[in-house]
Amino acid sequence: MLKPNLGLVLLLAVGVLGCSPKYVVVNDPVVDTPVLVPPTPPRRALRPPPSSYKFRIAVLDFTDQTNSAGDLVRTIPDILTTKLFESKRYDIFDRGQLRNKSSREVEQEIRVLRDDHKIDGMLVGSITRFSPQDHKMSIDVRLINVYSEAVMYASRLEVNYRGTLDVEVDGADIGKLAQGVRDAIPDKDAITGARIQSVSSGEVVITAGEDKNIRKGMAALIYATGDTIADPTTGEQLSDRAIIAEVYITAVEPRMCRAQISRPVKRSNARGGDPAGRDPGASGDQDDDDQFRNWSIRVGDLVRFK
Amino acid sequence: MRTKKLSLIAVGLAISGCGTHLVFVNPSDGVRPNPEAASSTCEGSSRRPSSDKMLDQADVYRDELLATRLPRFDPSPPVSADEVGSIARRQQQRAASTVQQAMSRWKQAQVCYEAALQLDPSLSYALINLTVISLRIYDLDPDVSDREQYFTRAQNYLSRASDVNKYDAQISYYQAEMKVRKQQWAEAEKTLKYLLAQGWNRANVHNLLGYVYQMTGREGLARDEWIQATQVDQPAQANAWAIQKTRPPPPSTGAEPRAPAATSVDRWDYARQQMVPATPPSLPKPCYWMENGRTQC
Repeated sequence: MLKPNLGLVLLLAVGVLGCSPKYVVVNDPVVDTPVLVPPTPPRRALRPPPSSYKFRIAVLDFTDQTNSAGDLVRTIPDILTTKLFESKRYDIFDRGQLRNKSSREVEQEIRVLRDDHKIDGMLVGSITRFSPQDHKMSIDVRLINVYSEAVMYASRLEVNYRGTLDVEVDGADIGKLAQGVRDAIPDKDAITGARIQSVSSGEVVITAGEDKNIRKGMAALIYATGDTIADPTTGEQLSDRAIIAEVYITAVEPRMCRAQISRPVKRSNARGGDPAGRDPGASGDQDDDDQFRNWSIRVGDLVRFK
Repeated sequence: MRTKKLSLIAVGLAISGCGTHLVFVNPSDGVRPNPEAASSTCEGSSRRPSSDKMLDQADVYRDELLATRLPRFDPSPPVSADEVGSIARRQQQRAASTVQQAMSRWKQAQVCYEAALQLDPSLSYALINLTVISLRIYDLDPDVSDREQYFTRAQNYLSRASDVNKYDAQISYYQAEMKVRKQQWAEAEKTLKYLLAQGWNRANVHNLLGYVYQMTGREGLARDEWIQATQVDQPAQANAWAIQKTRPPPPSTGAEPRAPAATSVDRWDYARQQMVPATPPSLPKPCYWMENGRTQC
C-alpha cells in the first residue's frame, strides 16, 4: 500500500510544481498589402507658355540695293504684313519696333526677340532692280528661321508700280508674294499624329517627314503625354496636356524629321548667341533650374506644328 | 481505483500545465494618436513663398510617411505569465510612438500641400498627394473612430483633383486604392483593368490588381499579375514589392528551429490587460503555428 502512494505523491508533485506554463509572445501576422506609391510629379510645362501657337514672324524693312526705291522699303513690308495677317497662316509680330532702324540695330532686336522666344522667323527682302522705264521693280524675299537661320522660302518677284514721285505698288503683286510666303509651310492643322520617336540631348526625332510635307525651319510644340487617359465614352483626352517644349526642324527625311529644342534652354547658353551650343542639360541660373525640374521629353509625346 | 484516478489527474496536470502557450499581440491595439500634439509646420513656407518649394518640402514629409511601417517583433523566448504583459505594453509603446510620428508627418505634409494650393489652386499633383497621405494615415491609424475621417478627406481631395483633370490616370488608380480599402473588390478590379487596357502599364496597377485577385481567392491570377509587375520598372518601389512578393521561399536547410505544433493559443487584451483564450490567426494550408511562435509549412 505504501509503494503506490509514494509514486502517486511524486507524480502529483511533478504535476503541480513542475508545471508553471510558459508563454511565447507573438506579433499578429500582417497581410502583405501592395506598397502605396506616391503620384508621379507632372512634367513641367513651359514657363512662360509659348507666345504663339502659329509660326510667328517679324517682317523687316526691305533693303534697297538700287538706292531708288525710297519709302518703298517700308511700304511694301507694311502691305505684305497686312496680306500675311489676312492669310491667317502666320502670327505676325508687330513690326513697329523694327521700323526705321539701322541693320545693326535690327540685328540686335532680332537676337533679343529670338532669345526671348517672341518670334520663330523673320521675313527679309530687298529691292534688287528698280526700272522707271517700265515701272517695274524686282523684289527678293526670304523667310528665315531665327534659331537655325535656315531659309524656309526664297523667291524673286516682279512688282509693278505707278507714279513717279508718289510711287504706289500694285497690291495684287504683293498679294502674290504673300501667297508664296503663306504656302512656304504647310497648314499646321493638316499635319496630325506626329509624335516623338527618339530623344537625344538637345535633339528629337519626330514621326513626320516629307510624307507630311514637313519643311526645314518649321517650328513645333511638344505636348506631354502619358498620364492622361481617354474618356471611355467620348474618347476625348487632349484637354489638359501641358506644352513642354518648342523645337525647330533641322532635317527632313521621307517619313521622319529631326528637330532641335529651342525651348527650354539654359539662359546662360542661349544668350551666348550660338544656337548650336544650346544644351538643355547644361548649368544655368535659378530660373533655369526651376524650369528643368521634372522636365523631360519622352518617346511618344505629341508634336503639333506651328 | 482511487489511486488510478489520481495518477491520471497528475499526468493530465503535467501535460496541460507544462506546455507552451502562444500569446498573440497586436501592438497597435488601443493606440490613440493625438493629432493635436502632431507638428504642423511647413518649413518651406518661411522663405519666399513658392508652390515649388512647398511641394518639395511636402514631398519629403510624404515620403517619410509612406516609408513608415508599424514596428514588428520576433516571437519572444518562452516567458512567464507576468512577463507577457510587460512585453505587450513595451510593443504598444513602440507602436504608439511610430503612429504619433506618422501623424506629425501627415500633418506637416498636409500643411505644405495646402499652402501650395493656396498659391495655385489648380495643382492637381498637390491634391492627389493629399489623397495619398490621407490614405496612408488611414492605414496607419489604429483608432477606428478617426480612420473614417481620413478616408472622407481622401475622397474629397481626389474629387477636387478630378475636377482639375478628370482624365488623369493617376486619379483612377487612387480611386481603385480607395475601393480596395472598402473591400469593393469588383469595382476596384474593373477600374484597374480599365487602366491597363488604356495602356497605363504600371507596376503598382498590377500589384493592386493581384491583391484584389488574392483577396477574392484567385491566387493564380494574383501571382500572374505580380509577375507582370516585376517586368515593369515604374514605379521602382512597386516593382521592388512585386519582386519580393514573387520570390520563391529559400530552400529549407533543415537548420531552422523546429517545434511541435502549438496547441494552446491566447491573445493579449490591452483593454483588460490580461490574456484571453483565442483561436490562432489563420495560415494558408498546410502551414501551422509552432510552439516557438514561428510557422511551418
